[in-house]
Amino acid sequence: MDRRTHDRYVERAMWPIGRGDRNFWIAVVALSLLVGAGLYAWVYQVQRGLWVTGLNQRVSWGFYIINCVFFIGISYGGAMTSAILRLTNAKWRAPLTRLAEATAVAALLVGAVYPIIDLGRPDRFLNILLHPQVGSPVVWDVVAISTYMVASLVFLYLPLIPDLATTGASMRGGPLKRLYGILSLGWRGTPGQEASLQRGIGVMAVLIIPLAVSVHSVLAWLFAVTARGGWHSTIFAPLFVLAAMLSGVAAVILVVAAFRRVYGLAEFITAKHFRYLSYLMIALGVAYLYFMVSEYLTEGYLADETTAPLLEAIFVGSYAPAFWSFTTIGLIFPLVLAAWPGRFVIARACTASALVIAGMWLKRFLIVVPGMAEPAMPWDWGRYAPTWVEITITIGSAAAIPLILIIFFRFFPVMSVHEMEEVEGPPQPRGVVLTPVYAEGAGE
Amino acid sequence: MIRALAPFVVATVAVVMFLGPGQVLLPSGLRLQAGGSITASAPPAAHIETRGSGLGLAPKPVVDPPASAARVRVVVRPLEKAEQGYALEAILVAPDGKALTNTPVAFYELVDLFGTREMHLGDATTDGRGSATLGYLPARTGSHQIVARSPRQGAIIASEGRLSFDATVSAPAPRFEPSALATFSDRVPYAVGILVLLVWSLIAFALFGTARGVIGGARDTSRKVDTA
Amino acid sequence: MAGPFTRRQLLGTLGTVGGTALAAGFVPMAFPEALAADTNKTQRQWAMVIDLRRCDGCKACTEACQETHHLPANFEWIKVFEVKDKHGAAYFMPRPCFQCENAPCLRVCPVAATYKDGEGVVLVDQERCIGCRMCMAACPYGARYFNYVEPPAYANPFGKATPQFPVPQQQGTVGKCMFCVHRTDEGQLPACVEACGMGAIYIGDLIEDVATNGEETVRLSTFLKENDAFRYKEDLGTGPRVWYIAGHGQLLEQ
Repeated sequence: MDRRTHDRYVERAMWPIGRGDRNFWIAVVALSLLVGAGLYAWVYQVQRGLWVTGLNQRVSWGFYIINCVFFIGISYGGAMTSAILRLTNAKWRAPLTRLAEATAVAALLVGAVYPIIDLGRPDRFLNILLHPQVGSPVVWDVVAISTYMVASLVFLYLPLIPDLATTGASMRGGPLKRLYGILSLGWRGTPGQEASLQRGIGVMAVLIIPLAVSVHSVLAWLFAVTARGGWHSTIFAPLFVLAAMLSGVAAVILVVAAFRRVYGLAEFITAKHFRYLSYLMIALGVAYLYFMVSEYLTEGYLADETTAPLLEAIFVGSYAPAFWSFTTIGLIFPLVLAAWPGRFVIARACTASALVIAGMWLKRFLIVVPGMAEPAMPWDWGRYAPTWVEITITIGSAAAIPLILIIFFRFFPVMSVHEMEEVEGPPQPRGVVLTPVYAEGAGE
Repeated sequence: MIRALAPFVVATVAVVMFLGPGQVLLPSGLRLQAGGSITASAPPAAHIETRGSGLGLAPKPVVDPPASAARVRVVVRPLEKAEQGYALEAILVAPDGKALTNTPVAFYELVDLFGTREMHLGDATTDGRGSATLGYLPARTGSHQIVARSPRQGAIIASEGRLSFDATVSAPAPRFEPSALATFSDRVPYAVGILVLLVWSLIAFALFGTARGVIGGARDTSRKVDTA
Repeated sequence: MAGPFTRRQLLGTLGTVGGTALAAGFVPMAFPEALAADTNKTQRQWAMVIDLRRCDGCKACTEACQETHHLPANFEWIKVFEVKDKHGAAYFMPRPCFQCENAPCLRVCPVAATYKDGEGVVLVDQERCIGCRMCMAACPYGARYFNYVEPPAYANPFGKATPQFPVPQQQGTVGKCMFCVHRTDEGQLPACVEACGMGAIYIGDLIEDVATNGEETVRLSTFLKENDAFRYKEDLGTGPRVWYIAGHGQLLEQ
């Protein structure tokens, strides 16, 4: 990379820092209104009790548990893509890792709130720490999610250290400069510092993968340890992990596309990146399809008395429309769309990602609600319809993710400068052109 | 031995009955000692009229038996295979002194469950000698009170006999211990807990170790960035 | 000492963090106090037998339960199901809490608010319950009820609601049948047993091997064996403490 491309990259990564243009404020206000509506609904629920939701004695888990699984799943893609690309030393990763890691943290912050929203007595949440019963999957959840959250924050922070120093150096003064100075820990790029940082990032990249796997496994066990039909399945943990990675990569594609457009990063984030991310998504989607077929085949072939009515409801009964639209529009079609060779790579990747994300939400719904509605005593099917409270909280929390990302990237560089330098080497003098990784395919 | 004593017992019962109602109710009967031999055998018979449901809370015996009541004598003996428990035997004698044959006898045990209740143990019919036998394996060792009762039979009104004895043999107690797997599963979380601590340590190491390295490296003036 | 950290630093960090976490987190984990059995009680191990040959589906048990515990109408801690069997015949099946030996609801509770008392009854400490409803998901019998709405106010004669007599129920927590331990402790029959005009419900003790429906008293093991009693979904390994005697109301016709 020559000096000019290098400088342009740094400029693109840094320009929005500390600034707020009109679009930024419109977006912040609009998203804040949605988040505020969600918060209002939550307060409304806390004041009155869970009866304001559509939950009832038969279906006692609904939107909140679905959303918990869904948003924590979204956060996977970030962590996993970033960690996997780092460990495999994929050179094209540099402009993507920061966006992926931030998405992971934002989605995780949102997802981790849901178990608390779901509690009948949120005021007693600390009882889990004061009187934990270690055999409970809920305790496993709290341990796994909190560990994963701390790890994600560390994994976001460590690669940020050199960039913080760069950002601070580019500023003239003020409290922000001081903040960056403190957060960058006096980074100057000495070999000792480099070695420390690389070791820290290496440890976290290795650690974040089993941690991410553990979180969704534990979430799956929340269902799989019960005796309910369709839930009591050995394949649930890997199925959940795959679902999470699939929806996570799709979310990363959407986030990257959005910031590429708004922040003007097209020069560095090109069609090639979207193609590679699409490949990742297709591979995960095919794997998910395989797992799902394996799950339904083994359960449906034997069709014991707890699973048979459930599968009947899902395949041909009242949940059939949801199930078949998930399978076709939410899984198979987007995978074909993304895999199809030809033009409009980015548009196709984004459409496919949006469909996959919607499909994965629907799939979580199909896991939680029919599993609950199927009666434990086999004579009365439960019903569940969410109320405005649940819908508003869901929309508000979904809006919180872009809000967090938009604000975060007004304070921190959107692309990792240090990582780019690490991949590309120090900037070459003008005229010397090395492999122009980021320029390739820019016109697509 | 018991059978040999039977005439004496009947005589004793008759004497006791004439001595007064209070005597009839004295808790008595066979006492089975630790060795298993029957050391005393003077079971009194009591006579009652069953009032209403005879199956509810133990009815108070009417201790003024009409002459038309049968005599019921209850005895217990250990079975040959000791672990099978005991045989309860009710010997019924008609008011005229003859054995009461082909008569149903219901056996009850007095239990304390929301008050004293008669727990139905089973039914038997008297044979040619007026004897009805029921196998009985108590749920627990210790004192047991048995009631044998025969219903009204024509002119002979309902009557009952009682027996109190100490059982040394009982059915195996129900077990509520957790399975071996449960004991194992209880320990697994602690192993996982150690793993979790290890993970937290690694995270702390990555964060604080890096911070330390970076801060230390900033003071390191001997090496320059551009000469590295 | 600039540059990469040494192994000693790593061990030091591991030791400090590990020790702190061990002290902070694992001490309470090791002693979930609610799990300790209540040893002061007399030695009983409660069990229930429900004779379906006698049940006429009148729901007197449900009503008595709701009256005793001051529950709203949709809280059927003992719920009477009308079951249609394969041949189209119908029978009634009351379902209390089965007080499972190996209770799934108990194991999944994150705060040990659900526990077993010394007499084998599964109780809920509503002072501790956080309302996560994991137990409701785990219960294979749907025996647990969540207090979505504020329960009706009631002056508890014991001064305050206890796990044995959780009346009034607390909003946002889970409640269920607990074999009326507040009554059995006082030597009274559970409300549903007392209310059943058909004598279909027996309460009993596994140790003494006896059960009574208030009128008849039977030797529990013999009664179960002679009537081919079964436990609902026994193959799940939950070890329910409630047995059923199958039937279609035969005894009603006599």
